[in-house]
Amino acid sequence: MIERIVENWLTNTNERGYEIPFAQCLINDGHNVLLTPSHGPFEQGKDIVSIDSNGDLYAYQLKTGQIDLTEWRKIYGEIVELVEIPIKYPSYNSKKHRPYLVTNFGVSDPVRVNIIDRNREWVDRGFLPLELITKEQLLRIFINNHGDFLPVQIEDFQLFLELLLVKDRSELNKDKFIEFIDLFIKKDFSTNTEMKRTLTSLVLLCQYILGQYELNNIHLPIIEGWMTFLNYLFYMVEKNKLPEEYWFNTFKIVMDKINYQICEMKKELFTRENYLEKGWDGGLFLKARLTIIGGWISASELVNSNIEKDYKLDKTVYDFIKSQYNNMWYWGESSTPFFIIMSKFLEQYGDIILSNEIINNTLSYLVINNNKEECKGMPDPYWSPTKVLEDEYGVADEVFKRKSFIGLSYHLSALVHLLIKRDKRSTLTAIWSELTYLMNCRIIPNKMEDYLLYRIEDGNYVSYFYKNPQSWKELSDEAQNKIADYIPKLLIKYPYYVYYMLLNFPHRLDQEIVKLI
Amino acid sequence: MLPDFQKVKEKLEKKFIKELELKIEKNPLLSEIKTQRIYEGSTLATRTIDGFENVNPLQEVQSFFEISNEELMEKGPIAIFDKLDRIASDFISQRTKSLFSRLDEAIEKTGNVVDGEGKPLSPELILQVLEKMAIDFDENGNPIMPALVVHPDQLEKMKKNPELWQINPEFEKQLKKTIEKKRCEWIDRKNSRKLVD
Repeated sequence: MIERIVENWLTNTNERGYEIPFAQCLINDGHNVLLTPSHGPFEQGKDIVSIDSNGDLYAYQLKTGQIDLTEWRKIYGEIVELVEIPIKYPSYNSKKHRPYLVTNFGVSDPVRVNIIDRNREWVDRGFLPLELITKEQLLRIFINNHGDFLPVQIEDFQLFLELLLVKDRSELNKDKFIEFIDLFIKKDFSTNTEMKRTLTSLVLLCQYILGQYELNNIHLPIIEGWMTFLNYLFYMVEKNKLPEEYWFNTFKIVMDKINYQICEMKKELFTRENYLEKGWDGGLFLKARLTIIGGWISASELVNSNIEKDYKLDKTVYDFIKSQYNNMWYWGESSTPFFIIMSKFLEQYGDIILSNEIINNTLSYLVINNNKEECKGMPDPYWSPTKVLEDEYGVADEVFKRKSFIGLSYHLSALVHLLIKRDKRSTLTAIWSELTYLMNCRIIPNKMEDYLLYRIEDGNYVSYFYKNPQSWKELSDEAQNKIADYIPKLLIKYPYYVYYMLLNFPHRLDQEIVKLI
Repeated sequence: MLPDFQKVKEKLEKKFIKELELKIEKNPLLSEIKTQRIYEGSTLATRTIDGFENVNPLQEVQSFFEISNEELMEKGPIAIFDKLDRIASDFISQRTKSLFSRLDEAIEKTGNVVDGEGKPLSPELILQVLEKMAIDFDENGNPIMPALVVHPDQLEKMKKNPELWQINPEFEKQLKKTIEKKRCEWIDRKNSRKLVD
């Protein structure tokens, strides 16, 4: 069964589709993956660069389909670069590398002969010969690394198939995706190696599921899917105190993948004449779309500038937010992180006025629509834009009691915190009386690692009002306090990750996590 | 693809079709006609009790409308729902036209025509029409009278001659006679609904 599934997936995917599982298999074999194509443009014909435990360097060029003479001639320039141009990576600059051409199909005999001839020349000139990895070898690599991790229980397998054959490809069914990941991550492990192997297998299975979106260039479900995977990876690491050597490479290649996918979304965005999609579009659909895109591309900029010291923030992102901000939509508290992250990007970019305006408007909108009985009611962060859209357009399956949200807020304290940090006392004073009618809510897990889960089962639901009167000094002191101990250590160690996490799990935004961004 | 919400869009499409059907159902003529959903096939062949056969291809009813990108961006699905009345009336008009065209074809075949010879519609003409029609009766013995569909121009003419349509004892008498005749025909038809050698 596993062979058939892997083969079916492999022959129906493109090079982007098997890039992450292939990199993960290298990691599993003890390689340290230095670079992936998602990391940035490769001019030297190298999609993946890795180093094994002996310190030997490897470079891989990934291709899709049968490589015949016509295809070979087309890619020959890239192959020459793959073989001849040394890897430019700190501390490995002068080292020779083993070049590999990888394809999920085969290579024709004339091409093989051509490679043998070229290899002679290359070896004579001091380069290492080009090696081939074709479908059969790839299959073996994947199957050997996969192990027996395919869901065996009928219900679990049904869940896997449901995710694989999903009809609505515009959105990820997060509940089902998490239910599937839970099968792997939440079990008890006896060794670290077992956990590493589980991760390898899960990467492959996630790629099967997300590959269908990849083939159709549907960016958001891929981003959300991999982000969800990473949150559960962090959960597994925190819970089992798994040393970095067993998981960090996986984290790195998946982060690269997410960055790459956001970059693809950005590219598509900037080639569009308008931002409409097919069918019944425009109106709130368009506004929600602009908000979601604005949040993700801002987060990507913030992540990149955190990882790379000299990263220059993208002006096109700034122009997009500045021109489209008035067309965006605060649909409920699940949109708060999108606005906060856009504001953070603008702050870093240097447009402090617009940055502050976004926070002020978000806070005002939340308060005005939620603090009194006569208000419309603002959906809490557990309500996705899809659910709110269904309600707005009168097509919701379940009765949506907007009024039930009145008087409560999960995100008020985070917004107040940001204004305090920016020393905006006068802004807060102007709205303070109105916001005191709202009760602050949040969930505090009993086990720190549970904060990374989609739903915390074991935790305290805490609610409180601001004091009447409330001391500014007290609030300022709280804002300066050390971060609460229920925030996982990994988030403190990798704070840039929080930008993405909050967009994927908006209900995790609270007054503590906001201290990290 | 940029972030999208296909599930919501599918629901909206269903809602639109439902509202469109409700509007069409409210049309006085179409609401009188029994509808049936056909799941297979591409032509419609019917044979009446009298043995007349009719074969017609299934006909597509469609309505075209345009919405500018600006309007769509601004109003979203509401821009399409705003066109609901126009689309419904377009559908009603097409269905009605198709209905009468099919009726004309059937009448031509069966010869079931009353020639008014250019005279305006009158109670006498209606009696002549009824004479040619089969009328059924309900379980209480009341006639199930057919609907009278007139062209708007004809309706205007009728309005101009109200005295012609006032209760007329002679017409009443004739109508009663016709109905009794039709009742006998109906009983005969009913009695003939049996298996014979």
